[in-house]
Amino acid sequence: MPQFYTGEVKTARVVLTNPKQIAVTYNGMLLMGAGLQLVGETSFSLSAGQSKEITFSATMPSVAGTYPVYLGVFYAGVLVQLFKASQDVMVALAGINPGLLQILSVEGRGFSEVGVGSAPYSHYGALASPIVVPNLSGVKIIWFNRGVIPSVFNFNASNDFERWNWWMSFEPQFDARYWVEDEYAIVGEPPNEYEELVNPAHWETPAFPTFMNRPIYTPTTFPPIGYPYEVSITGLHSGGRADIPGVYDGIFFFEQVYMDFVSTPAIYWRIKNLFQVTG
Amino acid sequence: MAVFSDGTVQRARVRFTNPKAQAITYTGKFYLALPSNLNNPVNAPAVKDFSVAAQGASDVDFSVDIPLLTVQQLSLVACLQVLISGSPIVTFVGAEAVVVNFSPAVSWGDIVWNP
Repeated sequence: MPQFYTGEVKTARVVLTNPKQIAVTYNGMLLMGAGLQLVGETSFSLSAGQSKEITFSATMPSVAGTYPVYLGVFYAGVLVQLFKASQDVMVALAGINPGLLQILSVEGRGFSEVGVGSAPYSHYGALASPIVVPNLSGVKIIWFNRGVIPSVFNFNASNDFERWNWWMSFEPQFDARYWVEDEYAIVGEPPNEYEELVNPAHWETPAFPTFMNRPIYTPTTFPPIGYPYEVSITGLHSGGRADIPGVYDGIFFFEQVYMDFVSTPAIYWRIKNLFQVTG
Repeated sequence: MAVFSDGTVQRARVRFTNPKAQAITYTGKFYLALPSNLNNPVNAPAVKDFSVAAQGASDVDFSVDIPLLTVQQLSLVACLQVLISGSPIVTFVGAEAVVVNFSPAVSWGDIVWNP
């Protein structure tokens, strides 16, 4: 499935044939979505029996989602034929410039900051900008959480959920002097599987050992927009990391990230890097 | 007057009556022609063998290819030649005009997106 970003201008090519014995000038409209949103238009002529490649400059819709693609061919203002492309197009939210994202190896770590925000006590915060990760290899998500214990993270995320292996990195600041980094692996499998997949030997003694992965929905489609993915963290491990192989395909993005911190009047967080866990 | 789009396939139904006292097997040859040139079909004739009982009647359907036009409109007539054992016995010409209009069409390959 082709994958583009909202508002992105792409070129679509299609070979059209005039089976008739008279030259015809047509108007072609490229349409997307169930509502047949016009994304590109062009006029073209085909002589009798001619086949010709026609190009359309198409502006992707402003709303993320999966769109069926249609081509409407008109003659003298009358629809001659409406074709439906065999492949839908996935449109992801364009947000952070992917160039800002540092690509790391599995064991690597970078510090390119892609998002900063804060959330008040017992409130949910959302990303100032959606995070869009293009089809990168070697991308990891690291969360840096300046503050104390995070309680609930809610994700609206799109990904290959069959290989749902996120790393989360927290950098709580217990006082103003230093940051303490911690990491969590988030696995989109049944809750208990987390415990099976993470090698406890890789974790240092957690300050709060409870880590609960609690998916509400298990999306089966891509992108699973509208499926909140909730991860509850009631503890904060300090240091250490787990090794969970996984391979991501396609674009994945975080549209919103909500945080509810129940044990501090204010929490500050930043997303410092993204990378993919590879086998 | 019958009006059709060019390049389409239509069905013509003709009722035949056999006035003779014995069943006869006929061959029907149905085609379209210009009124000024009835002997020259402008499409591939539809040919069909059929039998009609003695002093009986039978409806026979012909599949008619409406020709592709090189002009916007063409007025034709329907012609039906009836043969027995390969020998023409009569040619009927339809009473009403068959008007063929140009109808645009297009076919496609699938969409390819540039990366």
